[in-house]
Amino acid sequence: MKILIIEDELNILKNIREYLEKEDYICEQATTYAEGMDKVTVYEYDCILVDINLPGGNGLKIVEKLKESNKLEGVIIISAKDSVEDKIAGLELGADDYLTKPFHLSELNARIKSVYRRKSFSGANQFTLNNLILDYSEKLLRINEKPIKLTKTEFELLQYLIANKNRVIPKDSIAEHLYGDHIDQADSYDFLYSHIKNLKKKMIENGSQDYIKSVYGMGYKFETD
Amino acid sequence: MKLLEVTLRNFLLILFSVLAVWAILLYAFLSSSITANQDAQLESRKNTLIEFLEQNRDQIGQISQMDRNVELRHVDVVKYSTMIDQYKDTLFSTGISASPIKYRKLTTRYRNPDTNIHYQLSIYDQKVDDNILLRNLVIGVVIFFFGILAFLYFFNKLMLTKIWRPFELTLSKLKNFDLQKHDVIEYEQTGILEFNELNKAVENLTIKSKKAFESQKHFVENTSHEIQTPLAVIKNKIELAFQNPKLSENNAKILLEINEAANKLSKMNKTLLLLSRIENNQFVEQHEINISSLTRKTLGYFEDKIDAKRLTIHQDIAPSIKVKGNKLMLEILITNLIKNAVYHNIEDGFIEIRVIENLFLIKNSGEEITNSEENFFKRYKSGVNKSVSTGLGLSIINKICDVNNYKLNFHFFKSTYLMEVEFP
Repeated sequence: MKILIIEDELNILKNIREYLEKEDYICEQATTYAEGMDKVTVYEYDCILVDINLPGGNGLKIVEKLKESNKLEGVIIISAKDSVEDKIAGLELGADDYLTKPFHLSELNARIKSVYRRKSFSGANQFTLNNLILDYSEKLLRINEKPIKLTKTEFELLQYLIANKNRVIPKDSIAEHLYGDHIDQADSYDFLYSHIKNLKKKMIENGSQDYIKSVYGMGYKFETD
Repeated sequence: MKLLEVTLRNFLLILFSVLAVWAILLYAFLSSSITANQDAQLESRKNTLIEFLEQNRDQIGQISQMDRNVELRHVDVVKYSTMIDQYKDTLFSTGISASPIKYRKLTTRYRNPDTNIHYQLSIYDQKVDDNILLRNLVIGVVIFFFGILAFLYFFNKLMLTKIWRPFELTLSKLKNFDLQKHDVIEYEQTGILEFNELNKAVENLTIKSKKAFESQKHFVENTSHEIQTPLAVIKNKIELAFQNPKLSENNAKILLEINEAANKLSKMNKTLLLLSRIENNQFVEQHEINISSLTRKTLGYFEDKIDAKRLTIHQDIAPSIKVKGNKLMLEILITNLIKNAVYHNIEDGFIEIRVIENLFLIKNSGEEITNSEENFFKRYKSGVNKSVSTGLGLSIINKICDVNNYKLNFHFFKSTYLMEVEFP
């Protein structure tokens, strides 16, 4: 997958690149409005991450341009501005998602995958690992062809873990993903722990390997290798 | 006391004393001139009498019978030689019961050249009644005083209120002035120099306040925005560091603590930003919002926490209660109210939620509070000190109610808290 990151804050750009390159994505970067506009018009990408406040212009203009030229890229806006107006404007212009700084790299990664899944019609609507199949469109987990009954939270949790497989996903990132922004975190970790426990139990009881590992209390990891 | 009343009161006090002094002086002047007049009359009567006596010396003894106001008495030569004309006030009783009457008396002397008898001659004349004079004078002064009073009253009513109108206008503008809602109070020309100066000063003051307010607003907003980026860098670096397979447990712990601190900072920053945006009236779109379903939906988010604390929920939510307002603000308000009730609750506690007509009411159990009621809403002063909460939730609730003119009532008794939002 080819990704263009348009972001003027070099530190953030570096972090995103470092995280995404481990997913074997090809990352291109642009640090100004003009550079972003150039790359967008000349090349094709699978996904574009764009900051709103760019030196030389507004990132929303790039989104507008993409829309005008009917390009099929998934677009995710990354902004320091947690403003509803910008969010609505961005989504109306054709962006697929909107992420407010500061965000978790694991969250960004999951969003990129979700946008990519929605955009591509290649039927990559499920994740398969050994005897385990996670069907995104049906929102169903199958082990050995047998559907496993998961709660909504458990399914979202598993989906999030798989989106960031083989990574340590910080607890707060998972908690925020599941409960949203408006819930304070500290005791969310206890709920998270019990959800993880239940999910693991269901998976192992139905004949799956134990993929989900806890890492030093930092977070969890879905290990495939 | 109103300025007009003070001026009027002082004026009347002065007027009254001036009138009193004036009346006393007038009285003295009047009575002395009346006496002088009377004395002159007595003098002329004396002359007439003496002339009469000169011509009718034989009738001298009968004079008192002829004129009851004349008295004749013998005196010796020695006394006669020392006598001069004398005017004097004297009292006379005409009957036993009647009160004595005031008379003016002229005492003079007369010698009968025929008999060489010396006489003392007294001529009486009834005086003008002082009491009547005084009474009339007082009546006159009082009438005059009330006349002035009435005049001033109407003058004040009509003229002064008109003259003070620009002042009242400026004052009412100042009273209703709200930095958040209004622009500056613009200068208005009036016919009066002092009011012109006042209006100019008011305009300058409001311009300055507005500027200070704006810059403060923007400072908070800008700072919060600026903080987001370095915070993002910190959080992302931590996440990347987590990926390091050689990370020791010790270092992981340190990273975890940094992460916690960064999270708290980020949350606090977001809340401050939200507060400043509410203050800046950035949520203007108004819709009809169904707060019944919003409440039920929001309650759903907290299911996990409610179960964990084994809280009992009593709901009395009327179907489809609608309130006009901004969707996001109402969401934030209700989320914060419920969140507050859940977080500051005790294990096995209760929450009671009622949504009826234009009222949202939430009652919950909790720890006994250490805060005073006034401080309750002030930022950073949350008494139930939990490291997870930023203590800004109540400020948000308060601010949203404030901006939207929702009436917020708050009560607590021992360990029960009640929050009530009354929608207009």
